Amino acid sequence: MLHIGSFLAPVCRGTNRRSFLSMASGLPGLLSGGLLRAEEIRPVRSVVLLWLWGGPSHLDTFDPKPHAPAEYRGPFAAITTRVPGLRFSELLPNLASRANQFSLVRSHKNHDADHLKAGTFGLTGFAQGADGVAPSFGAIAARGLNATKGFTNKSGLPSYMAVGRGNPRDVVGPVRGYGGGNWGTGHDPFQVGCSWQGQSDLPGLTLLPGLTPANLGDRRRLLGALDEARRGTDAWAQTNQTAWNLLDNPQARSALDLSREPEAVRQRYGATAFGQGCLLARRMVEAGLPFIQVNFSQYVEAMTPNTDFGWDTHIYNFELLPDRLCPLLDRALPALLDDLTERGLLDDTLVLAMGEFGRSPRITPQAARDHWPRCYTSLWAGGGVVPGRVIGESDSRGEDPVTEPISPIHVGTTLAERLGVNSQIRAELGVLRGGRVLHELF
Amino acid sequence: MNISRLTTDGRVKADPRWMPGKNRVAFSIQESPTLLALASVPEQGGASERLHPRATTSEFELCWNGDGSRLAFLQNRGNLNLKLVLLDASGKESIFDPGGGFAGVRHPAFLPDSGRLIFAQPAAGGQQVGSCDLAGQNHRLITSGPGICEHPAPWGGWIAFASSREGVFQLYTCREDGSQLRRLTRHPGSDTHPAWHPSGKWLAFCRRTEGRNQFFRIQLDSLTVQPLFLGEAFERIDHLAFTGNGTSLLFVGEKGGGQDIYRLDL
Repeated sequence: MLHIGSFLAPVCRGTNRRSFLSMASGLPGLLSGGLLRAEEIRPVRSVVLLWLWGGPSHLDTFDPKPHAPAEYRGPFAAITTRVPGLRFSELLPNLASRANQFSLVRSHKNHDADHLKAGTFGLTGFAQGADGVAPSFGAIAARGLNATKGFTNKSGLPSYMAVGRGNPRDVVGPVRGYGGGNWGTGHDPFQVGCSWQGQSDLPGLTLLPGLTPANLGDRRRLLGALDEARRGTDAWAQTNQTAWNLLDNPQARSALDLSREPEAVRQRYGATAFGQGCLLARRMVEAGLPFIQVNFSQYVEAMTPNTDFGWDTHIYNFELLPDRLCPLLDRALPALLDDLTERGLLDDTLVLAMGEFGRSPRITPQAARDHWPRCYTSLWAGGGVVPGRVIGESDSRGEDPVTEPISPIHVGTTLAERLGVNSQIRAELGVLRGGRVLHELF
Repeated sequence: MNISRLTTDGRVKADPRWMPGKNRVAFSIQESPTLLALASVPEQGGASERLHPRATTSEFELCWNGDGSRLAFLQNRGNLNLKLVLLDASGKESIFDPGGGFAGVRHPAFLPDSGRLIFAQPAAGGQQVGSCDLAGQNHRLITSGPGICEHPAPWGGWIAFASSREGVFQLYTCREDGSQLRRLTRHPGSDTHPAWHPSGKWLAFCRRTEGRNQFFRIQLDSLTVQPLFLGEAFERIDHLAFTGNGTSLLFVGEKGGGQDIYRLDL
């Protein structure tokens, strides 16, 4: 058991602080990335990152503490899973019955309890600093792969796409670490929306009334319309160009068209935007898209006017989880894992589900749980992950890891490495310095 | 047992409630990605309609008093903030405000013949059953003790509720003043959503066993627990409530990934 203790966030330019350096000096090479089996096994074709924005309660999902005092454990039972000795909250029965198909990391640690800062750290591995914002894991994947010899993205789709209703945000603004960061908006994910009915949309074209793939007979008329509309920002123009390229490519259009799925398949994922978004991600995997981020919600807030019910359960944690959030996740994620398995895609696809932090183990005066960056859980499946493992351990109340705290930078390094963006490419790009591959998963 | 599907759109739903004197069933529905709305459907099924079509913020957990002259529901009026809205027969609105910031109440229900409402609310280090009068005033706590209380349901001077005071959610009853607390169930999974049969002799409730919801009944004299509806044909069942005469159960059922309101004739 290796216990590093507390640490501070690395900053964007990659210089580390405190315990990372002390640990690196004690275990030479461990933090340099790409060491054990992870670099020896075949890279994956795709990463699917299910981003549970708002911060799911780790105690009420994948790290229950049934023997903790009442003010910590909460009211839900812990149930057995397909892995002997492993228990989940009773709110996740479908995932419990598939626990032998994935592994958990129960010792994550973020450095900030603010959604925007923790989101940036969680999606880039670095805090936003005076020198800007590091590129997100998806941006690194896309740019790194494009710099990789022999890589071609045959999907007709951008190499980094986001499924959801836009850049996740809280009530005060968007998360800065969502896209290309210092590399510019050209490295942001290309966003596609998905409704609960499975209707996908390309935001770059929604500004053109009446324009759909079905009425593209007159391409010159379309091009003129696009030129007219392209008078906005460069970023908007680029988005539009990408959308145009998608419309001009039948293969790419097909990947985004859920109406091509049998009704029974669509039903498996559930009649929710997140469920259908997971199905859309599976179609993108089939098309060969390298990095797909499915956003559970656009907003973090669970119960705030004009937001879409994320995992930020400062009130009614113990009602929103059983009534809404967990059933929705417990349907969509197993459907995705089953679907990828049945199609022979899971071995070449790394699926990761997590939020920006966990929630306070001690129940708050509002009978709920607040932000908790000191300890939280992630779920990893496919892509060479040895299933049925639990990596890391939290203490008896779920307050802190008792094993090595797993920083977001290690998550990003692992995703990059498994996609084939190796340590040399990462060094050339100047990204994820100080991160290590979570070789324990492979 | 005969099962009728009252809605067919498949959207996310919750909280079916019998509407006294209306021959309709009310419920909460995910109207848009950012809006939970109150709606109703004929008791035999058919087209549903919104109760407050102009509402622009989420409303849910609707309840009526015995004769249907008053109603109450929760309304999301701020960041992580819920108010309890009470409407009388003339449409006059009163508010029970649990405070600014992160605050709210949940699961309102009218106490018969007492001129008060009960609800679950954060208090005393956990979540308790509280009450207020019909003007949203004169608040008082009914329960005390550790853990989380949910789903308070009144009948004849008694309140049934779920509480985690001794571990996971189990069912309890107490008098309207909080006295005569009695534990009803002992089960390793959660027992929630108690619903009084109009006779007052038994409760229907939702039992979660290894994560799967099933409906059971418990006789209040003997505490005998029996299966009521196991929902084998459904992917998930939840949110049960009785119709007015107690001959049917309303519930949210999930099939084919979609959620709808169903009526189970007992």
